[in-house]
Amino acid sequence: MNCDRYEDLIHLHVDHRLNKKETESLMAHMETCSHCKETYDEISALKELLGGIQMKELPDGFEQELHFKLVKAQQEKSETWRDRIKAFIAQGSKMKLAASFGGIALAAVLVVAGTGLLPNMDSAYPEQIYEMASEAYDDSGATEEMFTMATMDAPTEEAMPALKSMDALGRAGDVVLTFSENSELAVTAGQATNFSVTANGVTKPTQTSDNTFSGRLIIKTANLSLDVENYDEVSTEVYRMVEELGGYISDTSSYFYIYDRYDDGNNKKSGYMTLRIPHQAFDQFVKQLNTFGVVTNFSSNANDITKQYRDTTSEVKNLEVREAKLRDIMDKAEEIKDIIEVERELSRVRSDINRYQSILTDWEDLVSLSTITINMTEVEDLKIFVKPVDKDVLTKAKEGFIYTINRLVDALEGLFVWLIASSPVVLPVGIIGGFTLRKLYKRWKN
Amino acid sequence: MSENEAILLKKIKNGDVESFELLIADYQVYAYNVAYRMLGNEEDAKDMTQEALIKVYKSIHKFKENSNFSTWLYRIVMNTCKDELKKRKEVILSLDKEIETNDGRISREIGDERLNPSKIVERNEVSKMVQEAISALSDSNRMVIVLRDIQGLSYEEISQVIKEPIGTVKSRINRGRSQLKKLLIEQKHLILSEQY
Repeated sequence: MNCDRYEDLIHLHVDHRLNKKETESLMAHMETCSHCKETYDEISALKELLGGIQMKELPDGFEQELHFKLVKAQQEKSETWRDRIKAFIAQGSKMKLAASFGGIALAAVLVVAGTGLLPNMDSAYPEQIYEMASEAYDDSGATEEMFTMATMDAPTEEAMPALKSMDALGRAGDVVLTFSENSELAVTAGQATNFSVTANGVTKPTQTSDNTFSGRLIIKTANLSLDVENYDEVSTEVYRMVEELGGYISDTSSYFYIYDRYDDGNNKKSGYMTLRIPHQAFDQFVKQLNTFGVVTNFSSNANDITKQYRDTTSEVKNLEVREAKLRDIMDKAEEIKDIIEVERELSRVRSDINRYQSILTDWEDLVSLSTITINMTEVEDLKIFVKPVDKDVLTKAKEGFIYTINRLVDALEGLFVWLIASSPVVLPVGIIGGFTLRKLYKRWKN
Repeated sequence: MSENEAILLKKIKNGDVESFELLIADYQVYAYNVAYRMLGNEEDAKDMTQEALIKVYKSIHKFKENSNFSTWLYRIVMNTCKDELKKRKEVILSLDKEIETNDGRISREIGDERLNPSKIVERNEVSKMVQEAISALSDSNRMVIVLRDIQGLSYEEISQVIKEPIGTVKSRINRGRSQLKKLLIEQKHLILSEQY
């Protein structure tokens, strides 16, 4: 036996793991071998040294800190159970969601494949992307100038031909005109991309005062959507008519939208205007609008306020009588206290009268001038409202779909053939590689 | 596992923190010492012991009642320390790695701080010296040495803690001790030569 073997025995001996026979053989060896004796002494000393190391005491606050962490862990533990259940439910709904998405995708593929097979499918919904032109130009970094004017001025009209038709607004009294003009666009397109006018008709059109409100009081409003071939022409005509009838435009806004996404230059105008026209002209005006284009949506509403109006009028009358009485008392009153009291009552009555009267005026205004909101959209051709997106798109989608399927089948076939063909090489290499990787992993783990 | 411990265990499984603290009261100081010997400094030892004990608490439901609690505890402490050591190795960079230059390689020189008198005084403390030597052992050898010679676990217990066969434990003990012996003798000479 060589010394290496005895060294192993020495380690076992100090750990009291040797039987009698082995101990004797070790002792006998050490009698003769000074090297092993030395090793034995050193190992014993080392063991004694290590065994004699004083246990380190726990640092201060160890237990408190641990307690705090444990309580936290306990809370987390109970929370995690709750979370797990929640997560499970969430996962369930997620899977449902995924399934529904998958279903939609599958349906879409089938629809595309199916419609592609139908011959001459030439109507599909065009994709109209409404995009505020001004927003797009903001992005281009062009400077935007804001003008605020108290009244309509000639220079603005020159700059904006589209506004020319709005002379009528000037007469409506104070007009606050706010528009943002893109300088670059003004050069290229020569017109505003987006302008809106808000008119506050403080001075009422002449008709209002002539109205006697003896019959029924009806507030008429109409809302209609109009498809037109030429936005500017129609709006100019509408403005002219409104002016002729003695009404006014209370609100208008227009913008460009992308009519055909495959044709950059073909942008169309769209917008809305709120008109106030005398109630007598309401029906005739709506009829007239029908001739400008195709009305795609129309709704009108008549609200009879005769009763409320009468009630409010009589209330005002009562209050006026009361006011007159109070004035009498006021004249007779001598004591300061009385005067103050009467005055308070008087001011309350007066404010009530004012309030009711302002309501009455509003009603009168609403009745005398009907409100018509027109949503106007410019289209290429009135006869065809919807155009196919692109004749080629469906065909392309169909071709793409078939191409993908073919490629997939090709790839799978190729893989299968390759696997079978190269199995004599791949199998042994795979097995050897697998074993090596496992060994490496085990070694790394240790 | 004693009867008391079995009762405590039942309570702990229902989330009772106080029972857990009672159960580990006797063990935590051992856990801390093992961690200290493995990691070499008190701050890390404290953190890792606590982390390990939290792990024990969290996974107490995985503990089988017929097995030995202390062995199980030691194993978790050891694994926690092992992970920490692995993490450390990932960030430790070599101080004396050779630097590539146009004129060939040059080695970085590091100032020798060993002759600092206060350091010598520290080194004279036996436990400090031993700790340094232990720290110089490889992780797997250090583990068995700490468990066997400092904590006094049997070969069988160590085998259970580190999940290796007894033969491996034996050979690691032998290798660890021989390495440690060599290191200590070297250190002794160094200290002696510095002192005189």
